Amino acid sequence: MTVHQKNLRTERVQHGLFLAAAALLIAVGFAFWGTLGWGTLRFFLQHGLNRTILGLRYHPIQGEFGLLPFIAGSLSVTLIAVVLAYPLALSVAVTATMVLPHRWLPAIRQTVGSLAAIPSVIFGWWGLAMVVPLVRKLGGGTGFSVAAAGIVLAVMIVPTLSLLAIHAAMRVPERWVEGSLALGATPDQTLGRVVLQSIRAPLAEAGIVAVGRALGETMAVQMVIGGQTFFPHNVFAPGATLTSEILNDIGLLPPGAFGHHVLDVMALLLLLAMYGLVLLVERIGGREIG
Amino acid sequence: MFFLQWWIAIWLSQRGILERSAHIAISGSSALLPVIKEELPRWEARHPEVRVSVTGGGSWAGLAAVSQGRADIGMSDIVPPEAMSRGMLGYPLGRLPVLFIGNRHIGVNQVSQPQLEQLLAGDIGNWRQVGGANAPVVVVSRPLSSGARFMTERRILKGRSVSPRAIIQLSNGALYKTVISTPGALGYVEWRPDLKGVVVMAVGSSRFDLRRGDRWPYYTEPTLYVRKSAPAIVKQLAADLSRSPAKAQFGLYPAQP
Repeated sequence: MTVHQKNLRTERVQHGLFLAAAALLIAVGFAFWGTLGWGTLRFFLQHGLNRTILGLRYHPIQGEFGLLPFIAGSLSVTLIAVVLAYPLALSVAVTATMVLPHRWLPAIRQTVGSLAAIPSVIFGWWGLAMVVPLVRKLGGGTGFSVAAAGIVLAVMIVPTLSLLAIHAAMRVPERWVEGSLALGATPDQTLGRVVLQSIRAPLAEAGIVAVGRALGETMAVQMVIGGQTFFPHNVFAPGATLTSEILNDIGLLPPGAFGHHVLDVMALLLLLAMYGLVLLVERIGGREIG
Repeated sequence: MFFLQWWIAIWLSQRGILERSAHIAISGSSALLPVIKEELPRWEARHPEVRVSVTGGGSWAGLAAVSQGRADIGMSDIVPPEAMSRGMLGYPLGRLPVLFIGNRHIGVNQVSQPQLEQLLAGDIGNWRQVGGANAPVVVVSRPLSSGARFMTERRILKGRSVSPRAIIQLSNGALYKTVISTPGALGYVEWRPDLKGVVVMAVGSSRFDLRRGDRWPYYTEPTLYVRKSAPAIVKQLAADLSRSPAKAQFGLYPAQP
């Protein structure tokens, strides 16, 4: 066998391996959609459409599957988290790239990166010890609430969001900043009208990634939100999110149990929301700086 | 991620059955994990031909997994319904006390059983009504899948449900921590080695004493369930685990005859 033939054979083997890996990934993806979709279909065939997704009462053992409280919980927790985290993360990014000396940048990135690696259960314990009492002082009640979950999540996503914003800000060419300053713009005007203006797309992308992270977070939220299945009428009321309720009920509704497929419905809702976010990132991410 | 782990666990346990039970899968209540994990290495050393895997997931999940053949041994502190228990053998481990704990500042350390029922159901809204401080009662509970909740609703609440306004915590540890830090909190925990920082409630004339834990009237009865048709080695494992001398250090008191 010549060297060339050997190379060709190695190439064929490699090709096969890569193809198999890609096919496996795609198959796993389809398996998820398929299983959840099939479970959801069976749920609706068994329980009908009313009193389910748009219902307000949830008691799976009594056959009540209203998911509206959890949808509202997920949306409000995510909204609070992103609204609180975004300005903070943006400040971190601006401070790190524009205000502080440039030699500090690697250290800042490493520190923020290590914060992003803290497991969520740690944030949950921290929330239990710090955020819940704080919210209790601010809003009364028990402190276990949508607001507490939003704050814990905000702290959780600040590092990720800052890192993405720092990377975006670093992509702004130095000569644009210098040009703007040379033309007589103040540093503030340069920041607002040149730097932030030119990285709108990557910042929006970072925001969507943060929304995804907040929407999917489970453990930290479950520990501080209170786990009640009522519609949360204000931010200081306890509630539950789609993810935290899946976690609460997964032990109660094992495969084969009555009502098990409501978990599939919740998971499919989350999957659809995440997929929507991915599509959004792709649309925005295509745009370049400018 | 949870579903993926679920699938992997199911897949692994099915493989175990196909391999002539050289691999035994245990699944169920996380309350029993510590004692099982303490005893298992010794057992495996005596039976090198058998590999044993242990996963949590809750009592209901364990019972369902055994009755559907997805696991060999199910750990449960919930009594299985008649239809499920018919084809199964149970190996009881003893009694695991369930204690009613309150925040330090409630000003009460003893309640009658009917009072406890009304407190947990949410009928009594302020500790003043049972002679305590002027503080709203905040019930802290485990989710519906918990064995301790199952026992509490059956024995204390006489079949009623814990207050729907209760704060839900998933684990014994998180519930304990919540009761420590939340003013007016009332909850229930399975036995744990330390109960500092909370009031352990006396119920009626019963007061919990660590050394006489077998006298405490409120307990779950954690049990290992196997299918009647299971291979002898599976039943052997369940029987050996249920007799483990490590039980005492995890609060499992012998059942009184």
